[in-house]
Amino acid sequence: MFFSQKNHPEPAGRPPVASPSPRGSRAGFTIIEILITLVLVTLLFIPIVQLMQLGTKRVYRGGDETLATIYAADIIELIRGGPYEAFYENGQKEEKGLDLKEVFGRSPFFKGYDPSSYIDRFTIAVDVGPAGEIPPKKLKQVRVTVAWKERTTENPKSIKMVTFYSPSTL
Amino acid sequence: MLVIFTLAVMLEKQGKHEDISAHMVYKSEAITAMAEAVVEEIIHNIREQLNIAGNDNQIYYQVRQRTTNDIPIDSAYLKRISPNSHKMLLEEFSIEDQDVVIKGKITDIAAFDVKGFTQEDVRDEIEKSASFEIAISIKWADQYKTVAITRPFKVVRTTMPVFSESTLFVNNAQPIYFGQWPSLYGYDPGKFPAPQNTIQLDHGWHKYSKYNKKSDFTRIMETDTLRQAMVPPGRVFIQKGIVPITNGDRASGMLQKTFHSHESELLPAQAQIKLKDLKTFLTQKGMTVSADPDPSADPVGDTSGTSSTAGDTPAPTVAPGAEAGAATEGESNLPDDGELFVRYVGHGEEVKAETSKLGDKDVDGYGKYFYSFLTGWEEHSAGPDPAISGLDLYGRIVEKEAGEGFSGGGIFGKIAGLIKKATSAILSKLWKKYDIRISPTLVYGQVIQTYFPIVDYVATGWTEKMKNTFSFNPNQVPLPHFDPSFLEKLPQDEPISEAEKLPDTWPADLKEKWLKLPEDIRKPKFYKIINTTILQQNPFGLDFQEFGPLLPQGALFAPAWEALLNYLVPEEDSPIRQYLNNVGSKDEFFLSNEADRKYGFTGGPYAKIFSEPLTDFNPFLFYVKATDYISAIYDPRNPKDSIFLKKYYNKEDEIFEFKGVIYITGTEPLVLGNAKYRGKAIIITFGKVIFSGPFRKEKEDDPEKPEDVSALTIITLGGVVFDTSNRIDAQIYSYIFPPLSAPGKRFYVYGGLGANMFDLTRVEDGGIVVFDWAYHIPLTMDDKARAPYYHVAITDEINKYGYEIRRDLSVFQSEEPP
Repeated sequence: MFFSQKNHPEPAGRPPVASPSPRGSRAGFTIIEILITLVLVTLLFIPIVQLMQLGTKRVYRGGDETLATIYAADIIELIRGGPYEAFYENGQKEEKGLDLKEVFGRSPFFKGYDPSSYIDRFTIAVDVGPAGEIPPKKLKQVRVTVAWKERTTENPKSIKMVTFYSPSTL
Repeated sequence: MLVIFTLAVMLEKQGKHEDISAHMVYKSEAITAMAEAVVEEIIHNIREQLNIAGNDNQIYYQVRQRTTNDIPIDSAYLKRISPNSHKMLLEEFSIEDQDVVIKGKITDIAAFDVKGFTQEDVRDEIEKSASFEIAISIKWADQYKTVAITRPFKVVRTTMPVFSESTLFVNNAQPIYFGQWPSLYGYDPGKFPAPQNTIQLDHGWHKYSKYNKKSDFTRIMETDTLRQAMVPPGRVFIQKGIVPITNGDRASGMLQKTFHSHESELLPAQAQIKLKDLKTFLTQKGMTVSADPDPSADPVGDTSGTSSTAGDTPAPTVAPGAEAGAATEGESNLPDDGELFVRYVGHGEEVKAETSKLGDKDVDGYGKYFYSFLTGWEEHSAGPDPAISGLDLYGRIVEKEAGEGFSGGGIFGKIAGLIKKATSAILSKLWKKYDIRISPTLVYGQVIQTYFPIVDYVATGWTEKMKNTFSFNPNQVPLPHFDPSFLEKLPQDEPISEAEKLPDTWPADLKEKWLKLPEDIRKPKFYKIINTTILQQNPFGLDFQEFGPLLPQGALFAPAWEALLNYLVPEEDSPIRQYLNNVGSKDEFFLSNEADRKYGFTGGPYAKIFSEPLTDFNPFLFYVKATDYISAIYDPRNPKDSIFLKKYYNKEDEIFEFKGVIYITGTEPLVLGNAKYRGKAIIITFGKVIFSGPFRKEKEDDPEKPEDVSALTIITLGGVVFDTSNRIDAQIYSYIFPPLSAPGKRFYVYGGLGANMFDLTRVEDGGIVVFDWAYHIPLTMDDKARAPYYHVAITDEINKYGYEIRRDLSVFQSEEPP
């Protein structure tokens, strides 16, 4: 609309409207101008889009990390608060890479916890074993690793939380 | 464009902050988990080490300190006991030691509020409730956090004084509660000739000596014990009531239905005076003592024709008097050697009777004893085993004489025989060297002693001494009862010296014997003292009307030492009186318990508690010391599922493991038997406790390792039932009901037995109680040795539980506690 000039005959019966500009001064954007403008606008949009992408990426990343943190803390609290015997016992081999299904299936205490309530983009792995080589043996170490792929880049990300617990934990 | 650009920038900034804050959230959570790991390891290791002694385990000793001030816990120690978490921090998060700061202290230290036991001179200073305060600060990159926790704990003694020091402990022993067995000279008349049941008390001196590693037993018994007034544990505590401790039988036929005073005393030798010592003592006092040059002057010698156990040794004058050889000030006619015993014998229904029917035989009773004792004792001394009758309080331990085998004759030999059977495994080592007897009984409590005084002299060695001391013989002279109206007619200060002045009812031989008594004991004044003693005494504020009718005619009752002085101090210049005056109020004469020495001899450290009615000794008040609770023995959802078993029974080792103070509020019966246990604990249960079989310690205690000693005290509200004759290793206190034995079961408690009331009719087959030294914590035991007797437990009680997370960077720059 900005760049087109309408040149239709005036409707009959209606007096012509005087043009504010002389006939010879009617002008528009040349295609060149338009192209240049388009290039400039495009160039200006690139950083804006990048900024927006970066912001979105960070929002996604922060959100994912927050969610991963919540998941990790949740699982740690769950295991520490659950039956001590549910996981690695003295003499057993350290249990590594347990998924949520295995974790929740270890004890009726975890009944009601559903792996599907955790977003499946996140891979949660639980390691339970002795808290080091130095006695006492009853002290267990639980490590929860939450891994995921960034939604914008598909880059792998992960966090881990480690703590100890015992039969009479905190 | 500008707007769009602005929006884009905002979105980017928001995303950035979201990212950063998300990472901070992660770090915050992660660092909290790390700090909790350190806390967890510290608390876990503290918990593990609270009851394990070790040179590098400072917490074990710190929690057992006698203080109410805060006790700082060394940070290096806390770091040392958390190696795994430090390693984890380094390996998983690259956090170095300098970025981990740990501080800790023991605080909120307070005594347990148990009525009576909070008094300063009574309370156990080691026992306490307190809290651990541990703070862990960790710095990770730009994050730092402090996790501070407070965990309450208790330090509890695993034995329960004063009960823990007692072989037999009875709160209310009034006759109405105590019950009696029918008895006649050691028999149940209805079951004659089967011997009567007994309750035997063994106060465990043999173990005590082993514990103290005294190689010279004589030194313990005669030097430490007698001279230093150190009396080993194991005694009878009877709070109130005249106690018909029933049916003791003497070889002479004399019974010892004995009531005891609240004074501490060794009953076998209420006055055991070596004449040599007496002379030495008197010489030191500037007095000259010489032997009696004229044996014929013996006033209590054998004139009845019966052979004297004193042999040819000149008999002594018990108390100097005109007839005895003109004793004057600074001089005595005491013999050179031998010992003087003044002791008391009890009384019972059979003593009062003139004659009693035993089977098809008539036997002499009280009247015969006092009016014809010269023949009576001979007859009765030929009776059956006198030891297997009643609650025998007169045993003791003696060293075998050099080169002699076991001289197990007489009462002691038979007592020893019984004990030997029962505890042969334990005593086997000592047995080779010592004649183990039931040890002397020490009696505490508001109990009145009544007795008949007897004068006895023994001049020879141990064998004869024992033989003489615990059986009647012609050297012993009982003091008969005179009717007050008879005495009133006579001059009070003049000894009766003529047979004609004695009651007509007395046989001639008794008159003859009695007239040879020291003149002090023949004065009417002396018997008046005896009579008035009965009327004037008002011990413990008791109404005489309550117990007066229970006293047999002629019996004395009084605190023993007073009675003794009444007995033998009729003359100012009597050497014996002077001796008694000098020693009578001292421990060397009336032995006080070693625990009493610090506080005086009349009550011991718990005197204040027991100055009030013993109902104040309420074991259930000890719930404040509970370190472990269960609300039921069995799972209410599945009555066959024993919570008690699940919690305290180690299936792998097939043994119960008890620690601390276990409080059971369930009222179901707790059945124990055919099992072993280990650990030191007090179990307080609201229900009944039934012993269905042997219930033993895992192993015999090793005196060298007090930390390995097992000691179990069971307090029961619902009563105790012995459905077994097997040995029960425990101290058992039945708070309300008297202990009960199933028919045909003779209880055997190795530890101690206590009850609010003790009814002999509920334990018809009798039993044995052996005091276990493992429950004894003498005042002289140092803190290191006594430490294993205190259990420490983190109790997780809500009121003191604390958990705090805070951010405080200053801790990384300051040495001050966070």
